Amino acid sequence: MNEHLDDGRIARCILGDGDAEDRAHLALCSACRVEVEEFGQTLRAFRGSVRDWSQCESAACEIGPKWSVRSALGTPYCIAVTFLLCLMGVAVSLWQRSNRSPGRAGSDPDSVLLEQVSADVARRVPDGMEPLLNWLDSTGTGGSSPGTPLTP
Amino acid sequence: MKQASSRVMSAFEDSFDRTLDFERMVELYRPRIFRFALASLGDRDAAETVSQDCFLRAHGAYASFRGDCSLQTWLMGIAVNLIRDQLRNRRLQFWKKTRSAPMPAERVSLNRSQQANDSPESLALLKQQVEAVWTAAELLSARQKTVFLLRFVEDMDILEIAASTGMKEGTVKKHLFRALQSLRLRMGPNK
Repeated sequence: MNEHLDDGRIARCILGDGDAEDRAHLALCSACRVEVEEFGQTLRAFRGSVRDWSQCESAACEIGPKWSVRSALGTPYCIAVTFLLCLMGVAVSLWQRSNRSPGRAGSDPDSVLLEQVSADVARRVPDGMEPLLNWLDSTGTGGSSPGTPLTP
Repeated sequence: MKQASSRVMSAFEDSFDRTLDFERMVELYRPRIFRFALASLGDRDAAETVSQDCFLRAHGAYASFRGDCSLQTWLMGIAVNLIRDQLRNRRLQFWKKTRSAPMPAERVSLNRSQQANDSPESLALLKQQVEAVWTAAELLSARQKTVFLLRFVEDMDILEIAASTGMKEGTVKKHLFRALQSLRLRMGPNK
């Protein structure tokens, strides 16, 4: 008997494409026959494992959550809801701006600073001359309030 | 008037019948398309997308289906193209590749009939060999893997595979032969 079938010829036999010589060899050589049968069995087991896996995954697809962000965003209903929510947000922010009271605006640090600056600017007498003004007031010569300008 | 209404009714019935036919077709072939896509891509979500797109395309082209080949061959042809597109897109997304890395140990499960008939040792050996087939199949080229899966998972013959993939019969045989050879080579001496 000839030597055993090589990988290529065994692959051909598995595909059912072997020639008469290969078939004759397989009929006589148990080692090659076993190899072809075992590989065929492995491929059948592989097919079974793919089918089982596919069934499991398919079942998981059906059991798994139907809702997904992509599908939800795709539905017109959710687009409408999102649009309404955005519209409400804009309306609320506009309403808040228009209702902002002036008194509350005065309590801002910027407004306080502005008031302080304007008060300082309105003051015509520098702070260093206030004792002189007080003295003038007490002697009655000045006859003016601290805010009044000094006359030369 | 009566004739017009009967024509409208018959057209409606025709479309209704076609819809029913299509629904039956989806029911019958969806598991196969999903299985083939899952085995090709290794990713459940991608397989689900492919099977949905496949039937969407089939629905669009159902009226023009002339019956030159079987429905399965026709649908598999659509699926093969969609899977090719998915794989092309995936090349740009390297993280997808790591996510869908082969997990033979999780995938491998043997049939109950096999489990009942064989000894634990031979079952363990068979499981190991099936794992090796999974690993080796992941390393095949896209065409080799496609023809290998169509032949050995979907049980399609050479002519059907040629019709589905748009290859010539000889090319299919060549790819199958090379796929089997490289599987045996990668599986090592315990094949």
